Amino acid sequence: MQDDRSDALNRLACEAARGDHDALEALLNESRTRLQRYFRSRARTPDDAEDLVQETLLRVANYLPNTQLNAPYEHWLYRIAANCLATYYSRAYRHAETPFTQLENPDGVLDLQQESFEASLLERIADEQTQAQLYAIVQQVCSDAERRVLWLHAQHERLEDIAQMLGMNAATVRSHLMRGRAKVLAYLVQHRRDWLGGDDAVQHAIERLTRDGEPLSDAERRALYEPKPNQSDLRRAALKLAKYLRIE
Amino acid sequence: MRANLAVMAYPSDATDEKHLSAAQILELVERGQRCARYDEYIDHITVCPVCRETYKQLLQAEAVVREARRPRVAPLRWVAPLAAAAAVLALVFIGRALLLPTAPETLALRQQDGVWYERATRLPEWASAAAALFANPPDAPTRSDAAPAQRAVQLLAPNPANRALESLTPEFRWQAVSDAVRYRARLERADTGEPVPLVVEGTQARLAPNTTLQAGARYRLTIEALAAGEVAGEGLTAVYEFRTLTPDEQARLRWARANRQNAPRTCVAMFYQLGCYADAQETLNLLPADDPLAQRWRKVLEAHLR
Repeated sequence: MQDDRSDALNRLACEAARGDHDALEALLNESRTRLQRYFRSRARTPDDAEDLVQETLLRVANYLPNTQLNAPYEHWLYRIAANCLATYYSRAYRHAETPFTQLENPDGVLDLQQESFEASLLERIADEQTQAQLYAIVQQVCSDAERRVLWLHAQHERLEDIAQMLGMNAATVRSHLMRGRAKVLAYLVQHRRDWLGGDDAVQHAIERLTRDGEPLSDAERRALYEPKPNQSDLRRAALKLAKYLRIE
Repeated sequence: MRANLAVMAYPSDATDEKHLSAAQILELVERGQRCARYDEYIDHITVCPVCRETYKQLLQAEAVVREARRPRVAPLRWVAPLAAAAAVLALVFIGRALLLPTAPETLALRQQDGVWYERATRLPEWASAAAALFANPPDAPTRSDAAPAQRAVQLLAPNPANRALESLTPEFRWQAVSDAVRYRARLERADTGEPVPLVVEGTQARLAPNTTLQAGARYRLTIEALAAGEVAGEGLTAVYEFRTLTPDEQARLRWARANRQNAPRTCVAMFYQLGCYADAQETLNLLPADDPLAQRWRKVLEAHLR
């Protein structure tokens, strides 16, 4: 987790953002070492690495005074570095042979300020108690991989991005998502039916399923009401009912 | 469900100001699941949008770097000089082979009076290409530095390390997947997509009665493990590709299997040519570990078997 040096950098960044030139200079010096380490193994040549360091520092110096950081300074620094690196390897750079420092700002550093809007929206729509209880249920019934995939997907991450983040292929991510959903729904149907509107809501969902021509099988129907149901039948039933149920 | 699950996206105890340090995120980017504290870091990233955004951007930059470093096809202007250089090298090699009929006996592979020998074993005429190939190992295929993604369903037989299917009526067997209640398997021609009927029984599949594969064709096998409640397309999937051998190649494979003790070098190259990488590696183990050519071949085969 964040250490004292990171805290010190955050303080320097705040002072620099307020116009303190000494703080900015100290901040850039501290950043340089980190950037040199980052680019050294990634750029094609040492000269290119040095250019990338300069370019990143230039952007930091340009943007910091106008930016209210909503992430730790080091995160912000490395995001800019990553953007510079991607630009450096981009087709435009390779083919047009434009000097790197003369490229326009193609990655929109200011866009960095927009991150996490979706997540903050999620925070607003859930009451904390429900969140905590659902969190506990997911931890209880899902595997680590299912839990992570469910979490990320619930925060509107794309399956491809989840796959990249977790080092899986997209088919595996999808499979974990389906299994995780089925397990959580089955748990809610079995143990927290009140969240779904109680027996009446479940019965109503069963009737709607039947009307839509997708009735539950006898085994699935039994699983909904038995005290110790067959989990496979219960999950299958819960998945079928899911589109007609809402967490209340 | 997505909308409903959205409400649980953010456990309340993760909303404080604690973040991973940039160094920790970089370690995760560079080492992935080999990172010593992988579970701790990835669990934090799962619930922390700030760290996740940094992680994603660093991962994307890493992917760009990897892509840019992947060897590319040489530009057209280099094709002619490279082809000329290759032709000269080939001529030199062939010339050497022709002009050195009485190579020293110490060489394991030698040509005498137009006939190739490996130690005391006289090689068939069609094995000369393999003998020549052994002395010039191909380049190892370049792969990503990242750890290889493990297939979701592991094929046990035929050995997936071999790209060649020996039998035209193969039986496929795979490792059971926990949670799976049934399996689907699909076999099709890789070039035309024409399906081949399969009979699936548990973790095995065989061709439908009166069905045989075509010799010398590429086939793609897709195995899907379905858990309870999953329908086709929702399960864990693994894809394997094979090539069936022609009768001529079958004969060579039989010869290589019968002569690997007497002519291991030629057989390594022959197995390689046939796509039987597991056999090639097994045969390579018969050679001295410090043999420079054996070491080069080991790298080539490891890259294929990875």
